Amino acid sequence: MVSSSLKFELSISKKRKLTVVAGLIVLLVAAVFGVMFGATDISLSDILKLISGQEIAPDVRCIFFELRLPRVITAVLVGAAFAVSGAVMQALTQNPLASPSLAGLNAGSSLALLVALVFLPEFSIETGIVASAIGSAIGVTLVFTVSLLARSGNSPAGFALSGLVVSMFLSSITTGIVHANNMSYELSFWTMGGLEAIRWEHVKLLLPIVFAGIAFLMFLSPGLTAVSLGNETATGLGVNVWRVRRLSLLAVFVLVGASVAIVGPVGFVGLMVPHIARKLTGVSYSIIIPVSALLGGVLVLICDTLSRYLTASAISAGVFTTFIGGSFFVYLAYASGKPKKRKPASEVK
Amino acid sequence: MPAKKSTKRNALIISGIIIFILWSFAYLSHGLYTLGFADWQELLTNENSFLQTLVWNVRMPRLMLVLILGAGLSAAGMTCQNLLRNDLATPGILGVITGGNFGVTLAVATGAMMISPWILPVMSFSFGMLCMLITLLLSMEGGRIISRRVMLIGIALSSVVGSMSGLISIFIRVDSFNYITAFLTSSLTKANWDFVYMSAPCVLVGWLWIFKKSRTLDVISLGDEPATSLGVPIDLTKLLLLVPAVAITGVCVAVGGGFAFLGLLAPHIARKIVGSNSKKIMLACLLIGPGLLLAAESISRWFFPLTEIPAGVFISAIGAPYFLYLLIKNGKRNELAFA
Repeated sequence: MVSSSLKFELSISKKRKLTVVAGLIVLLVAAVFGVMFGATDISLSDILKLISGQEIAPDVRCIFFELRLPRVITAVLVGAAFAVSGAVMQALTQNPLASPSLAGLNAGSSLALLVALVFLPEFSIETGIVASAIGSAIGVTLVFTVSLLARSGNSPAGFALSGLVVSMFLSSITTGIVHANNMSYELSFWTMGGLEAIRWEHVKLLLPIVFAGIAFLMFLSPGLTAVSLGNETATGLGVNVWRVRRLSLLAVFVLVGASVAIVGPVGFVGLMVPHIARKLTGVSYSIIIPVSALLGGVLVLICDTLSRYLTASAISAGVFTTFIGGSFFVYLAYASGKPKKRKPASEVK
Repeated sequence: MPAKKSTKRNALIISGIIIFILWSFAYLSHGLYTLGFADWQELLTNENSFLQTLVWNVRMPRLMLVLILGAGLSAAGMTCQNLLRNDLATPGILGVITGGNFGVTLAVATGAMMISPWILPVMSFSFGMLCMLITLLLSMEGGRIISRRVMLIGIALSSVVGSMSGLISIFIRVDSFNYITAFLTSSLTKANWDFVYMSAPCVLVGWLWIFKKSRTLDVISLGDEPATSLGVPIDLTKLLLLVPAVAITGVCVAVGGGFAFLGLLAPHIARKIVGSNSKKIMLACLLIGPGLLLAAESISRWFFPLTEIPAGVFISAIGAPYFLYLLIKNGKRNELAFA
């Protein structure tokens, strides 16, 4: 009995290590591909030369440092931010469908960002980040309010439905503002979430925010694990549920706000990745959060590279993530009607 | 008492019709160039090519589409609500609108629409149908449609299909992209007589079909089994009622847009006024559906004359909160959906 449980423990920690190592390798490979492909391809030998400090053609060097590298870093950061936000929201609501795209955060921040862009006299990325963080808070508050008021609104379907409709409401206002200002073409690209205009100044802003946000959530992770097992359980374990909720949601708003302000709403990363992370690593959020960050980064990076590789215009990673994550959503929806007995969110596949 | 109630209702209907007709005149007259009394006189007596074009070729087809789409989409919405026994069901929830949008995107991107304008509604209908069938198929369990799953799968599928449309529109030229975006936003700015000739017979046939079968709809919505059961068994009769609803929606998507919440709002308003008889609801929707659409169109044309915020925006801005209100209020009837 003892030995078998010990074996189980061992295999879990082995699995985690394996996951992290494999994730890092995939991230590295994806990053190499990410800097290689684009309108002008950079060869592998050039990249090796750059790393080992040898001289290469100045134009290649410029593309590498000024275009590709910031873009790859931003893709990873944004993916990590969305994935971790999704993981945290799923823990807080114990709902497998909670995520930035389905809980109104993305629609809220897009709208707030647009409002700031149109109505504020002086717009900078910093004010954009603040505005879209506030917007994501408003969006999620609306969704939570509706699903709390609706009977059994916290069930996956009720939650998704209120999230969808709140998002549709907010984005209809967005469409209205866009049309009223004749800015549809530029913005329709942006609302799909794309990384084509990323430079170092964006990285400089995003990097500390994402790192601080994820570190803060790591600090809260024991509380998050407890809350993910149920509010009663958490209270029984001596966790202040409301404090965990408040603080972690605050971090989520900042993460989502910054990502949306810089890249746009990259959809469904936060829905899919935490499920995979949980499947790979178990129930503890001190490991789910970093693994989610890793996998989210990989996913967005691959999608961005794919979009650059497949389309000459290099427009939109968000379309690819929505396609992949949306397919996963279909699978979740299909699976959600199946089991009759209630499973905790952490186990719903 | 009943006599008094029906008098009141008749008065409401008649005043509704009068208001609608007056409003239609206002719609035709008012705009960037507002027609005065003298203009109307000139239009009816003399040949004035500017006024002729403005009224008959620009504003009139839009008004016609308002009638067609308003009546069609609300009948389609009512059909879905009764068939799935769910207040919140609309063709949009079943994935028909995003499917139709995908069909339209495909037709524009491949250039198929150049062959014949009929390609648009045909593609829109086929892909709308396909999406609906996938949604229903995935939400079935032992020959029954599990209501709680239908909504979720419909939403999920819509997001996938929507991203596929996005994917296609990335690959094409900028002018086609703008064209598609204009197409996919629910608005009647692209109206022309071709669209009217195309959509009117389809919507009329679909509408009459549903109208003829409205008794069946009533029976289904009452429930043919104990209320404890979770699913709705699907059979040929119901599928044959869903097909015209999807056809109407598909055609409407191709000529104007899905107006996601119109199919929700209009039948509910009608139900409040005339009760739950499907036949009466459909007749009332002939006025309410176009009325809502006309109001939205008027706001977009009169208050934003140069930019024309799409009418769909206003329908969503009213419809979405109403949907949320239903979600909160009618917990009982919709419990099936969220069990």
